[in-house]
Amino acid sequence: MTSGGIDVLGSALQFVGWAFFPFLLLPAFLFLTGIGETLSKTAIVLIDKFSILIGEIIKWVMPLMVVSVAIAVFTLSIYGISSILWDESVIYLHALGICLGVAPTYLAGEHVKVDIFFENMSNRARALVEICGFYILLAPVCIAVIWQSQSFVLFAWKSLEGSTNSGGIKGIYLLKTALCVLFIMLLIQCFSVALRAALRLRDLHQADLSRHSKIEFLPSSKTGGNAP
Amino acid sequence: MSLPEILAVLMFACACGALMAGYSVAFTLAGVSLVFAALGIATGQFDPVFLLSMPGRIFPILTREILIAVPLFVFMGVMLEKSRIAEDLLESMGELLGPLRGGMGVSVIFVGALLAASTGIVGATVVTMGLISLPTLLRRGYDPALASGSIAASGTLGQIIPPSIVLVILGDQISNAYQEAQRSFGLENAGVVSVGDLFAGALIPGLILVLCYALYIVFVAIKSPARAPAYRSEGIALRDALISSVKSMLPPVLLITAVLGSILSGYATPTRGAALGALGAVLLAAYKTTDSRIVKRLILAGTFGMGLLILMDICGIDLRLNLAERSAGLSALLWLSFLFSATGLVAALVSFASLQKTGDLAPVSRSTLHITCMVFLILIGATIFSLIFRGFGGDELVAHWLENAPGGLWGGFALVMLVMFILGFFLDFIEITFVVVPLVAPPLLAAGLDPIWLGVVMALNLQTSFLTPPFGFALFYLRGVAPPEVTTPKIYKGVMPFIFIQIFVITLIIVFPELATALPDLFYG
Repeated sequence: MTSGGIDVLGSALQFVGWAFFPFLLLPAFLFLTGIGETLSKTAIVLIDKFSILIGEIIKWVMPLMVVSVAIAVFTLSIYGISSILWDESVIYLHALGICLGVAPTYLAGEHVKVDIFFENMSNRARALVEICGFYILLAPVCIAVIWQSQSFVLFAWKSLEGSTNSGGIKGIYLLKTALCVLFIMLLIQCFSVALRAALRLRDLHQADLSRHSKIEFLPSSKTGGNAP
Repeated sequence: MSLPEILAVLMFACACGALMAGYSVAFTLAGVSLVFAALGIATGQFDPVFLLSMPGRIFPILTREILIAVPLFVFMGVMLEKSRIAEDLLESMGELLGPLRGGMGVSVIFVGALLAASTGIVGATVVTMGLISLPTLLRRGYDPALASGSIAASGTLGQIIPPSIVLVILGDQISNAYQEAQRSFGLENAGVVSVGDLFAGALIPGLILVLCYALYIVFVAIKSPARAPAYRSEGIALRDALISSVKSMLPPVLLITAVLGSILSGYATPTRGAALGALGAVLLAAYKTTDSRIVKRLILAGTFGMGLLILMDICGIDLRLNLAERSAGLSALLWLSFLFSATGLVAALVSFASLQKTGDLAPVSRSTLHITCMVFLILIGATIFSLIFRGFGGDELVAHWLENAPGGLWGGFALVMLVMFILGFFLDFIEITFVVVPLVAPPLLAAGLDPIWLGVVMALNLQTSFLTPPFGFALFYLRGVAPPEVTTPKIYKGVMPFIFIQIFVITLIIVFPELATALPDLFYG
């Protein structure tokens, strides 16, 4: 792609970002006015389904990494064969697993939190922490990183940045894009979590939809689980 | 103190306070620091250029080779946990040592150490041990305080006994800090520290801890037999107990020895050793869960084949494919090695297929993904936090404080240890390592402390913190799975002697640093 083409693509993406930006206010709007219940519920279901789908696919990267590093150990130490392509593919798998896995992990509620006080909070207080956390802490960080990544990613695309090793995979620019995707997916996922907290605060939503309840991950139960 | 430095200190305090609200740790760290950065920019005390380098700082975390060991070790640990080796081990060792006074308690310590070495996740070990061994100990008439104390203590061993995930992360941070000490603090000694070094350094202190725990239980059993009575189950001969005990102990011990051995001998990097360990765990778990005799035999054959392959390599048989010419004997051996490799590959594939069939592979992979992402998200959050903290000149402030601490270097060291100990009450090992070590380690190392020794003492210190009432993490986990008759005061009382053992061992390592540094010197020169 030409350099000008990349610039146009970048501007288009930025426009899409701006277009969706106002939606981030939906949890606060819902919390304050109680309007937008149907839209919120649809958004929650769609976002969560998407995250679970991505998580269920990307989890297979883990055993794949085990196999491919183990093979590399044997071929290198016994047969003296090493391939930069093979070794780098493991790094790509690892980085991709993290970039796409963080949002599903958030949905599963597996990210660490200090629960000394959280354990004893009421449902209402927890939902408030969730909404305030989203607006004060998480959303600004995600947006700041995405914003600051623009030149970082753009530069990588323009030079189609590859590996620093000769014969390596020519895809560093894709990984750098994946880093952006991490924060975009996380922002969207936490948007859904904040929406849920807002619904809980408006008592429009049953408590069993809390993300602290067990979320059904098995692909066989597509219709059950977290759908309202 | 200048205004930016005041902001830096305030930022640290606010982050610690905000963590208590219970929002995601990674984003509390990053978010609070971003708020302060905005304040700093508004008042002209903070250079916005620091924010521009955020993506450039975060990206290398994803591609650092040593950190690939984290998902691999997590996979190994989760797989072993799911394959329930600990249950079998405890049962058979209990049969063997149960007839001795305090024997059951000692076997809990050893199984805990072994499980800890294989999983390296504190919460998982304490919960598993609490669920399987606490009821047994109580049924056999052990004092609840002694029983819960020994379980909590052996559960935290996972941090200090290699190979542990915690040591991988700490080793990575210490190694960065050591380079930083050379670059920015003018440390002349131009060495490098590796994760393998820290593994070697933590080995002896970890074993000393296990020994001290076991000796303490034997001591209690001799002094007051009612607290740790002997027990003999009916109808099991000593010989049978011995055989079943060895049988269930051999595979995990072999696996851990192989992983550690390959890393410490320099045969494999920690990442590669972790992959071997994960593969071994897969073979072990598949062997245990499958009902098919053919699959069992295939796995045995494959394991045997891979073992022989490594043996050939260690014996110095040159199997490199790019040799120009080889003797007839060597050619035959090469073809033999191909056969071994093929059986190994078949065994690995069959194991994965078998685990997939029994439905174990998917949950293990999912849980590995979750734990890995959790660790890396904290690493990302802590990176943003330290970047902004540095932007305010906070790192220079910390270095300045440490230099001017009362009592010189040792005063600064004691201060750091105290702060880490207190942070250990409400933060996990990973967060403390990512936030505190990069700040405090470079000046301490520049002042001449040994990096491996510092890492080992930090690990021991945090381990003690996790055991200390009322906030210790291990105690929370144990409380969660303990039956109601084991009251919280009993847990606190039971864990006290183990805290004294911890302090004793830390003092020992401080007085005799060779305990931590001799082994790395021996292995790596």
